[in-house]
Amino acid sequence: MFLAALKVELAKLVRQRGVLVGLGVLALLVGLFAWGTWNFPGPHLPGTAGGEFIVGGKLKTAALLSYMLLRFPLAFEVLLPLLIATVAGGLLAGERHLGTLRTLLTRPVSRPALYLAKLMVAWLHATALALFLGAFSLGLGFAIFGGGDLLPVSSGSLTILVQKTALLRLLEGYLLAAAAMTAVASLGLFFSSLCDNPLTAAGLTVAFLLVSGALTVLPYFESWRPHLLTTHLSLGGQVFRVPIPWPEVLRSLEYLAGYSAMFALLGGLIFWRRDVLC
Amino acid sequence: MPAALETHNLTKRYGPLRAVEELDLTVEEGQIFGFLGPNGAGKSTTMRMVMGLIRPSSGQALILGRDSALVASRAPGTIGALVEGPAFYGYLTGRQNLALLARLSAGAPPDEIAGVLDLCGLAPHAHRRVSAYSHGMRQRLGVAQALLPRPRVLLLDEPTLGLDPRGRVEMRDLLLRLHQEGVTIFLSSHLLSEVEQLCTHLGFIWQGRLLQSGPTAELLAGPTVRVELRATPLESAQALLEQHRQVWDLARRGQILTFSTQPETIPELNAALTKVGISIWSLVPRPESLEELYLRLMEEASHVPRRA
Repeated sequence: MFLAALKVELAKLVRQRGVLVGLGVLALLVGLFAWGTWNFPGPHLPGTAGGEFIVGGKLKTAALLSYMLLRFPLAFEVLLPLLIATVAGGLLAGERHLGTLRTLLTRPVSRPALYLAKLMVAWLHATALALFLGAFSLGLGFAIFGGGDLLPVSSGSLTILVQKTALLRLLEGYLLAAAAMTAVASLGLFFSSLCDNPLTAAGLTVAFLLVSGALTVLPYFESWRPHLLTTHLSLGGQVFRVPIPWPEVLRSLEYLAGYSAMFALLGGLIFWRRDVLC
Repeated sequence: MPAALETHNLTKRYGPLRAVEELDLTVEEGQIFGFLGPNGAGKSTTMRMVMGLIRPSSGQALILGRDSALVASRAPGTIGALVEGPAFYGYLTGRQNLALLARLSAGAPPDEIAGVLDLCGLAPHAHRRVSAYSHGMRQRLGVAQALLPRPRVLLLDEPTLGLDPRGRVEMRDLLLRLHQEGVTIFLSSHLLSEVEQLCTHLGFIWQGRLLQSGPTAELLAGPTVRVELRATPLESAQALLEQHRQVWDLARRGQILTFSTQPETIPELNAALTKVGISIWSLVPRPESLEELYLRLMEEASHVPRRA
């Protein structure tokens, strides 16, 4: 029964306008970055690095475009969570709002099976968005700039990654980013199980992330920082540090898995217990 | 053989409010059971509990002998339901909606989907998005989804709501046809004339309590009859009847008096009227209509103090 529910949820997901709009927004973001990279000079050497190195050769590459998007804080801390919250928030609250949850549950499908199917779909959507951003930026980058090495610049250091290594790191980076986004999807589904309106569910998800984000930057809560969800959302960029801090990466993954499991479990319990009145 | 639907002490409380109170109901296979009551009486709450949408505070509901809390009670071919209005995915067509929902009931071949669309008069609109459907078309689609796959028990909450007169007739014919094919139907409706034509059995609910249930014919034959009286002088007849203990719901409509009484009281009334010199032109008893029965039961129930 779970598989039937999963197929139904997937069929609905791919036909939802919100999903296509989300992909369109990400494509637009990639397009804007590509346009900026094409029109403005220089490699993007932030902070002190621009003043410390003279760099020659081909710097504008597909890998650079994809790398910039992976490191763009607003992408994985604001934009993708917002798109994920919109879809995940609607998975239960939207169905409740429309009355279709009632229609679904009069069929021979158990609540745990339906919830699990919705959770899988929420995770899949989050993963797909993150990977789409990576794949589309690389594809567009290859089309516009072609291949080449990557100079992932961070403050005070410069590393040159040959194309093969750069692509491998990008794959790792986007997979980690996708893992981070699944925690946001679990959060969205949790609020979706609580609310009767999809907009409220999405709004609460975003509000939670904004509050958590505020706590990560406020000095008073420094001791909380390692434990907050938003601290770990930009996990993807870690693979470009030299050397890669794997213990930190693993700890972030543990936190994300913990948050994801907690929200998924709480959402499931609420959905299992709650009467369907709408 | 288990009953199609049963409830035993089914109760739903919301804090101090008792939406449904110790409801004992049995719907045998082959019946068309009309579940009647005013808005807020507990009809939809009962239906939701039967379909597992709401958890009972106590008691249980059984579908063909299986606890309705178990998914197995809604196994394919067991029960189909339309609870409190049709709800579908507006971005999908009617056919796509049915195919999607049928997947949750082990699927349905395209010809079966086409069959129910045709049965419900939706075949010409099957390719249109549901967002473009009228309320009546959604209502038909709601019934169509409940028929996929063909269930032994059909539970319908206000199936004719929003349908035009022709649509209501078609829906009634459809339900009668399904009944002839052996489908047990449990429905709620406010259209009493249709219920009277359609239902073999009735149950009346008020403030969560079952007031009365049984075969329609028996309930309508009931202990009282409605009587129409033409007499002169009408004022004197009215005054006499107003004083009589066995006369209720006396009303005057033009030159006709109507009232409820017990059948055995009619000769006594006839004699009493004649005795005081009233000329009787006609004294016609007729069985209580469903509407009259309904209103009488609700009126009586409203005078009975409710248990805490």
